[in-house]
Amino acid sequence: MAASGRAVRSNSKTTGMNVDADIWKTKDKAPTKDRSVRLRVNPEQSNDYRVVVFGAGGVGKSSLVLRFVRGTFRDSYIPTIEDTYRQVISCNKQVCTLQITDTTGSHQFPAMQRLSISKGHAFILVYSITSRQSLEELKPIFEEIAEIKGTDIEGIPIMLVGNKCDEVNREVGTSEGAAIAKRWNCAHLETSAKTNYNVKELFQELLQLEKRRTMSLQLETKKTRSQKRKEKLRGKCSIM
Amino acid sequence: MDAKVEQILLQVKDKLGLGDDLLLCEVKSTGERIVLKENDLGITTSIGINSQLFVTPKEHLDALTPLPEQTCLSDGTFSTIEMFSSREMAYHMSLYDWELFTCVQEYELIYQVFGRYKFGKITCNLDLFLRRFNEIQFWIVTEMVLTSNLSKRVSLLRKFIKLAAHCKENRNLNCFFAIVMGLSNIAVSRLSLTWEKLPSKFKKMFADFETLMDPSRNHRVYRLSVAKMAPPIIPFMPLLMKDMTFTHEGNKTYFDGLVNFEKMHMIAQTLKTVRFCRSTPLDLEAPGTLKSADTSDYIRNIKVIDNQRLLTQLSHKLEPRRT
Ligand SMILES: Nc1nc2c(ncn2[C@@H]2O[C@H](COP(=O)(O)OP(=O)(O)O)[C@@H](O)[C@H]2O)c(=O)[nH]1
Ligand SMILES: [Mg+2]
Repeated sequence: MAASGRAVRSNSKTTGMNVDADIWKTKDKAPTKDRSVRLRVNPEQSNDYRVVVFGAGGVGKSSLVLRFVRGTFRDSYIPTIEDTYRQVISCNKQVCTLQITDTTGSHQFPAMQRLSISKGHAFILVYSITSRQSLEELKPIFEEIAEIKGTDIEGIPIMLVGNKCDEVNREVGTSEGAAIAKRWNCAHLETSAKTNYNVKELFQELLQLEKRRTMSLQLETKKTRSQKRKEKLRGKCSIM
Repeated sequence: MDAKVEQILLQVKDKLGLGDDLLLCEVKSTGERIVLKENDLGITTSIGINSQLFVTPKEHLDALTPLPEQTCLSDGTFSTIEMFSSREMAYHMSLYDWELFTCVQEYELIYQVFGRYKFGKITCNLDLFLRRFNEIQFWIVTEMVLTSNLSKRVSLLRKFIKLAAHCKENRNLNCFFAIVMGLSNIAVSRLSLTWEKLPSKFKKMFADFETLMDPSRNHRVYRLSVAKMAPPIIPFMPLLMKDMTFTHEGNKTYFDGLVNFEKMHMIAQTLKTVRFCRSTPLDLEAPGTLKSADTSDYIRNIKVIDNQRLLTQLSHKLEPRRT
C-alpha cells in the first residue's frame, strides 16, 4: 500500500504537475521580470550548490552519497528514480540546497557529461582502492573538467576520493592517490561508505575548498525553523 | 549482427589462425581503446560514431591506433547546408528520427539497462537511435569549427538556432537537445567573435533554449514542459535512459526473495512514456520545395568529427584565446 502510494507520487513528479508558465509556448513573451531577476541574482549565487560525482561503475558512488544523505549503507530499501540527492546546508549564513548529482551512465552521451560539468560547482572523483583501472578511468574526466572550466578551475573544489578503504585487497596505495591529486591540484581522501569512515569529512572538506562563499554542513541550530525561513525570505528580498 | 564477442573471436581464430589470446577491441577516433567483454553481443551498433573494431592478440593491444579515415575529416559542408532551408532540414531530420524512434522496441530499453548479455538479446534499433543523438551533437560542433570564415560562421550559427526552433516545433525534442548541446559545446560556446555578431533576437532565443536544458533538480524545467505536450513526441532519449538506469541501479529487483513490484512499476512508467510519445503517427506538413530529396539525403549521411580534443583545437585555431 505504502509502496504504490510512493510510486504514484514519483510518477506525478514527472507527468502530472501543474505549471504556471509554459516554457514551450511563451518564447516571445518570455517573462521579462523573471529574466531580470535571474540576471541580478548571479546564477553562481543562487540557492543551489551543485556537486557532481564521477567514477566508474561499482566504485561506490551511490553508497557514498546515500551514506552521507541518509546515513545508511544500502541495507534498507528506499526506492529512487532521481539522479540528484538534496541536502540543506548553510551558505553565507543562509539556507542553501546542496544538490549531489550522480553521473552514472553519462559516458554514453558525451554531451550530457559535459552539461553536468559545465553546470557543476564542485566535483567528487571516486575510484576504488581495490581497482587501479577505476583510477585510470578518472583521468579523461579530470581532463574534461579542466578543459571546460578553463582558468576558472583554480577556484573549483575537486576531491579525489579512494573509496572502499576498508577492503584488504588494495591495488592503489594511499600515496599513489595523493600523488595524482597533487598533480591535479586537488584534495585527496580515502573513505569507506561501508564503515562510514571519512564520509562526512569528504563533504566538509569539499565545502571548505569553496572560497567564493562560506559553506558549511551545519545549519545554525540555535534559530528556530520559522526564524530561518524568515531570514531566507529576507535574503531573497534584499537581492531583488 | 547478433553474434557474441566470443563467437566472433572464435571465427577469427579459425580463419586467421592468430593464436589463442585474442581480444576484440573498439578503437575510438581519439585513440581510446575499449576491450569488449566476451559475453557481450550485438556490438556493431553500440560502438562510437567513428569507432572501428579490431581483433588483436592480447600482447599487441597497445599497438592499435585509429585508421586515417576515422580521423581525417577536414572540410565542412557549409555551402551545402546554406542551400537548404532550416525548416526543410528540420522536417527531414524529424522524419528520420521518427523512423529510428518507432523502430525501437520497448524491450530494447530493458535489455540495454539491465544488460544485454543477461537476456541474450540485441539492442540495435535503440543503439542507432541513441547514436543519432551523439551524431547530431557532434555534427553541429564539427560544422561550426570547420567554417573558417567569420561571417559564414555567424550565418551558420543562426541557421542552427533556427533549426533547433523548428525541431522544437516538430516536438522532436531529441534532436532539439542535440543541437542546443552542440551549440553549448565548449568548442562552439567559446567562439566569442561569432556569438558577438549574432543578432540579439537569436541570442535571446538561444538563451531560452539553454534554460530548457538546465539539469537542475533532475531536469525539472524539461520535465514540466514535456508533461504538457501531446503526442507525437520524439523524446529526449538520454534522459529516458538515465531514468531507467537510476531506477535499475537504485532498486533491487528481488527483495527478500520476492519480486520488487515497485521497481517494475517504475520501469513500466518509463516505457509507458515511450509508448505515449508515439501513440499517434507523426504528421508534419511537408515544406515542399525542390531540394527535398537532396536535403533528406544529406541529413541521413552526416559526417562528423567525434574527437572533442580535436574539435577544441580547431576552435582555438579559428578564434585564438584572447589575452
Ligand atoms: N567494502 C566496501 N564495499 C563498498 C563500499 N562502498 C560501496 N561498496 C560496495 O560496492 C558495490 C558498488 O557500490 P555502488 O554504490 O552501487 O557503486 P556505484 O556503481 O559507484 O554507484 C556495492 O556492492 C557496495 O555494497 C565501501 O566503502 N567498502
Ligand atoms: Mg550507482
